[in-house]
Amino acid sequence: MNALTQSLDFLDYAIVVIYLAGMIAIGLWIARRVKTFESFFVAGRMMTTPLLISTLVSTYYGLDVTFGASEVSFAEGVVSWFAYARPYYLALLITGLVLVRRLKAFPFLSLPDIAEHFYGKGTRVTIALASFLYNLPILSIIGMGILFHITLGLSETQGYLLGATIAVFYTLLGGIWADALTDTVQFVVMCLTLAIAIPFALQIVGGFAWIMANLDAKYFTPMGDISYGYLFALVFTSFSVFVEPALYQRIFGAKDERSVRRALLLGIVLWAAYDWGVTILGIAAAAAVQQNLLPADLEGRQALIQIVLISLPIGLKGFFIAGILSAAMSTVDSYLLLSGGNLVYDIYRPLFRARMTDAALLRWTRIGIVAALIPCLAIAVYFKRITDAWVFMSTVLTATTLIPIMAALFLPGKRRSREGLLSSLFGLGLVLTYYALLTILGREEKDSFVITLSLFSHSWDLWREYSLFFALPFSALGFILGSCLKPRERSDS
Amino acid sequence: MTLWEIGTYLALIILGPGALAVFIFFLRDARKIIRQMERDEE
Repeated sequence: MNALTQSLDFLDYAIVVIYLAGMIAIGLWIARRVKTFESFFVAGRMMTTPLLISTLVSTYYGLDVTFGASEVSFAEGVVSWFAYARPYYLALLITGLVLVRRLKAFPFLSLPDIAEHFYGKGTRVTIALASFLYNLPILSIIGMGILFHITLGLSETQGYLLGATIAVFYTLLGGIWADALTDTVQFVVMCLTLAIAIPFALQIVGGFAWIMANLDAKYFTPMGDISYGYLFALVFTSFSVFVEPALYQRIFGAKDERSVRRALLLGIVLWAAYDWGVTILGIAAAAAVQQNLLPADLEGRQALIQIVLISLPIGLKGFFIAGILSAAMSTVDSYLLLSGGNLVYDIYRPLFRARMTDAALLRWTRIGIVAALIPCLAIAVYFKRITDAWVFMSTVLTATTLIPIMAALFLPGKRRSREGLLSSLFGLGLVLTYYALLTILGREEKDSFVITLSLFSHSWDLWREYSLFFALPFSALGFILGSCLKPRERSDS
Repeated sequence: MTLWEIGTYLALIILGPGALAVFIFFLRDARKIIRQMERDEE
């Protein structure tokens, strides 16, 4: 038993158990009503604005984002909100204003559907593989393991298994409907628990007056001390929003274009508020350390949960843990569903069983969800530095899909199959080669790998995280090369 | 009152009453969606 486990009361545990039972009940209730693959995968295209807001906001907020943002604000202050989060809001705004209309013009069910429509099966499978890798919800499963370890005293591996089992159970039964409906409950629980926790946490450290008077001025410097180069890299990583599979699935599942556009615009307001709340809790934790309310060697990623657990009374702690669990489970179920869809709908069906019936597709996708869980758990147990895995996964997705998908949707004229295939393979190939070279030839520094290149008495540090700077132009080169080769037209843009 | 405090109060309003409002609108839609699903089932 650790200190946190001992600080929880029976009432707190009861609240968490009631919450978990409720999520499973929703899955069972929905399971009887889901009969077709379209209903299972894109909710029969019936999702309305409030449902879309809830599922978009809660899916994006896994434990990685929640703990990651508070970790940055705990160490550096409001820069967490200004520099790290804002490029994503801009990307979401562009998606809402520009991308949604184009996507709703076609009856697609998934991101690789777009690739096949414009470029053919080869590009579909390449993009589906990159998408599958990205969709594995490794970070959230690890987060749940850590949470169950802290709160229930389980080993982290037992925690992974417990959290993943519950999430997969109701996703398996009801697909996107179970996912979206549980997301709605999870969204409310997440937001309310944060709104309740902030005043308690601020009160315990003496409010803003104490924080402003005693914390280092850097905590309230909007851009902190980050360089323009790093800021540029952050803007680049936000491009992943333009090809985010979960976002695409919700756009395809929306009732109409207007519903999803409104959901995205209102969602940005809620994301910004949630980000700010998490940022403030990280800063409050830093103040609590200065006042010796929390240990001086407190790890940044534990800042949020620790400040809240010393601030909240019995009962509300359980409510808060349910909120944190909500953040994790809403992400795990969404991405497990997408991973299963990638395996069966996007890869297995077009390659091996083109004439699969709807019932078989539904049955096999459920099997695919369980199959996706296996590599996910294996990676979760195997990797030590899991943040690196996330950077790698999102880089692979963006490098492989951004250029061909954006060109398919927005470039005038007819697309050729080789444009998509070469573009996606060039992007994927460069990221894999870059990572392999850096890992073999580079030196280890600041939890990453770097190579220093010297040319004409100048030297440049090439960090592993810079792979996207090279992969996107290389993917564009593949696209241009594909256009120059002998044409094989697929369909209209 | 500083801008940071104003921002925090605003965030509290959005996360509390704002999220509840979204949920209430969802409940209104949920009835329609369930009816539609039941019709599809028949």
